[in-house]
Amino acid sequence: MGTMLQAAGLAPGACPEQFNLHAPDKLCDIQRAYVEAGADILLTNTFGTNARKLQGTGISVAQAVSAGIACARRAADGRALVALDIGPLGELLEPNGTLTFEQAYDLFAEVVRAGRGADLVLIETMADLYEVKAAVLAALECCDLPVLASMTFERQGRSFAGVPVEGFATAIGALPVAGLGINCSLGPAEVMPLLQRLCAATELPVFAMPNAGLPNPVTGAHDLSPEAFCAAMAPCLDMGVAAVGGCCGTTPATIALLSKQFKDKKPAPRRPALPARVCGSTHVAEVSRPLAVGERINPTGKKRLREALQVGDLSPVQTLAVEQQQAGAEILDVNVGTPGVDEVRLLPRAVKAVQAVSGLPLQIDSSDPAALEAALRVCCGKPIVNSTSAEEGRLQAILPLCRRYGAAVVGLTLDEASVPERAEARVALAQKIVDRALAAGLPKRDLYIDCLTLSVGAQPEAAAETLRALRTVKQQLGVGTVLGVSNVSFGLPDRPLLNRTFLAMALEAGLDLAIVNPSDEELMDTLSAHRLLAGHEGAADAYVARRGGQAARPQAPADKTQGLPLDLAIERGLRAEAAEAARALLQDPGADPLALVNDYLIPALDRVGEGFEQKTVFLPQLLMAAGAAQAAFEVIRAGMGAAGLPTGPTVVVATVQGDIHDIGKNIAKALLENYGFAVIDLGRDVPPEAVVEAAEQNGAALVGLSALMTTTLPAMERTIALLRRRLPDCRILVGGAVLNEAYARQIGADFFARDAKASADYARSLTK
Amino acid sequence: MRFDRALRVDIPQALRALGYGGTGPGAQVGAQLAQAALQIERQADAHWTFRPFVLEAPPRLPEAQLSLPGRDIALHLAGCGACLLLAVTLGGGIERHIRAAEACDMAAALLLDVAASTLVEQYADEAERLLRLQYRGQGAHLTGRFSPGYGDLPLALQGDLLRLLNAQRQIGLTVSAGGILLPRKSITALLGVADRPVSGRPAGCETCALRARCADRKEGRHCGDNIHL
Repeated sequence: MGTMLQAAGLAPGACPEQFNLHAPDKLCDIQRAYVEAGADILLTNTFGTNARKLQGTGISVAQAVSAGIACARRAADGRALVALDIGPLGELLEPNGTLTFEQAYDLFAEVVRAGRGADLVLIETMADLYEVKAAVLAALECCDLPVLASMTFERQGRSFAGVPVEGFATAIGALPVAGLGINCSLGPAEVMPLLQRLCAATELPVFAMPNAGLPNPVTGAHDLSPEAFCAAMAPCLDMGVAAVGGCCGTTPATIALLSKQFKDKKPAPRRPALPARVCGSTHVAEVSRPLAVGERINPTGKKRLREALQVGDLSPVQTLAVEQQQAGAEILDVNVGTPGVDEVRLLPRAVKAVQAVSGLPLQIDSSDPAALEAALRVCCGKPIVNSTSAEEGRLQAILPLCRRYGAAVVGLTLDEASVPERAEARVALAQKIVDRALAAGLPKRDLYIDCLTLSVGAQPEAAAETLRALRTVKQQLGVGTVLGVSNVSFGLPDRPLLNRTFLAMALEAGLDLAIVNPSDEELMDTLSAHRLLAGHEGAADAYVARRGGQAARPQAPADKTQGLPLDLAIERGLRAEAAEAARALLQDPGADPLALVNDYLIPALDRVGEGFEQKTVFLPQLLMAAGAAQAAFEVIRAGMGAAGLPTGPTVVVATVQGDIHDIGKNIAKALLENYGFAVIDLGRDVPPEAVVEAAEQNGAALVGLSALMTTTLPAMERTIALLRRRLPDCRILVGGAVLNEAYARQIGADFFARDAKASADYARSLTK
Repeated sequence: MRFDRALRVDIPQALRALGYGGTGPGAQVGAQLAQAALQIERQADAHWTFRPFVLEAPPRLPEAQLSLPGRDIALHLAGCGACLLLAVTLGGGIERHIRAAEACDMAAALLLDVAASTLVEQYADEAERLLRLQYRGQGAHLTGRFSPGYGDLPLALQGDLLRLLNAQRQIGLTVSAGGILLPRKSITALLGVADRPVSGRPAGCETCALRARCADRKEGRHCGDNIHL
């Protein structure tokens, strides 16, 4: 279409929608040529139609869409269906960009509402799974038309945003769409292997619209003739592809040949055997072998995480996500339920925070259906909902949500009464959950039954009953299984030993998803060993990579009495050594934790800071020292017990609205934390109102703002003005490469920090 | 398109950007930077695209009906009859990787970020080298690269350049409402094409938008020497 419009006089880079309004006859002629060539579905000329892209063109979305549909209708003249064409928004969504999921949804919804007069909706040329989800949800919720979705991939089968073909099939295929496709990308020959993968990964109809080969960068022309294009499309029939077409560089001549070649031919029937799969924004997890679900994003029994969640600080959640992924977790459970927290607001924020640092699939964990729905909307990929039970009310609330948002679900074998003691009764509840889920339209492969682990400390038979129920569910109901492993050892000594032994038994009984603490290395070893012994594909290499070249784990930690002194370890930026040295110092019965901070940590940091100012030490070393001090700090804090360390004044930090550069802000935050400040990090792209709100709610003495673009300085100025108005006593420090002292004063800041060290120095000067 | 060869991060250049001039970084930083460089090389998915346009003076691309505003770009492209638009990106994969590091270890995150900034410059150099080679074969000469934001060439031009390059479809590159290239580790530039050797005129500080408040300039350095966090 773009090719034809340029031939008809559209300047490169100009807005194609102007044809809908100002040259409908020309547009209609072009489209009619496709219908006469034999096209069964005609796309409207609305690929780039959205409020952002049309800004400044004088054309509204409603105008462009209704004129676009009218043109296509006239050209089709009853001979072809008219598809409302929707392309990418042209801006990246969070976390890589500044456009929020909600904004993207609204932009798409506006197009869909204007396009209800079409026969179907075609979402195409997408590279980001999150953006496809926003578009598909908008289409499903704002009109009654069938929805087709298509992404563009590179040769290896990943999109520019890193989404694999299987991720697209898993996440979008789980939503109630009518078909999935691949378009644009490359020529048909390069697209065929990707189509094969798509056909194997979804039961939905599949369509293909490749480019006319590869483009010549100088001329922009594609290298395949219509004949060559059609010849290369031939395998589509045997593959069972339901519809074919062309993208960049194809013309009515291509479609005419294609139509001749495929008309009245029946594609081969497809019956793909789909494995159970879930996915995150970039990772697909196939549950054809047992997987580790990281359990640590859960405030139960974690005082610091609870406190952070209560003030809306999600940075510890991100740290836990990254640590668990590094430790081998393959799915991350996300639970933020704790008193004093509005889960409906916080759970979706937590999901977004985790997605910003990890591409793993999520298990969204809440007892509140409204919170689950809010989180499911913004979750990228196909998550697992944790959980429903066999209670009538739960089933009715949870199962439709899973269907609507394309999620798998965990079913707990308990009902209104309690957890049945006997395995048979739990299996009966599992049967009920499975029946109800199937009736609600969920496929069997998306069901995971939790037969519930109880402590053997309380009931000696508990583990045996759980395993008996698990085995029966696996064998008789043929659904997936899930267990929280560590409950088994509650109240008993050497819990890790019981946990990993129980894990081995459960795996042998048919456990698919093991909810565990992935930083328990021996437990993860057991999982790895089980995969090897059970003969799972790739398990041998993974086992050797994990344990190869290592002796069995030592029973006791090596002798560390010869370690570095604490201050030296910090100055050299050695985390493990600093933590170890702090531990050793705390073992002295007369040790005063607060004195450790004041006598070792702060002086060591000050010395590194001085070196930084004199340019004998550079930023990496300053940060390594900060990291080592933090590690020592954690040990000291843990040693303080319930009393805890006194915390310094509260500092709120943020990168201003429109800006996403946050390394500088995060460096300042690390140093501020070192010096004992309670830092509330609002992240990047933060609106002025959010900064003021956080500062107000937390009684912040200081707000730190960062901006790195000349274009985002006005947002900094607006934030300062609002702070001044609402919180006149709060001090404001600013930093960023586009600022200096005079400019900082001009926009009303109290202090310009030329680097992170200066931020910390200024904050400390306020407490004196 | 992809680059035919994968580049390794120029470690000495990355160290210079971190401020390590004559003094060595010490074993620990050196080892961690090497590690960071390796991760960035593995995660980077470098792509580039370019497109030639006829150039009129004062600088204007008639086919695209686009004027190039400012004094500096006019000086840079003086004597050129055509102009190449170029875009290079390391892709979005490294972004999450750097963010993940920021959640756990700021020193590691900083080194990853600097390694990536260094690498994207190297890929832009490589693209420029390939173009120079190709155009020399046709007896044409190229100026150096000139990017929006240099001198008085406005950042707002990014959107036009990306549209003309069809950059989102070609290499997955976009620009935010605030003028930030996304993925972040990306470069766009203009190069003049002439039938005789041309040097172009790289932007100096005189017309820079940040002239009044640039800390580098006060200390006698040029921002090209440094990284900005």
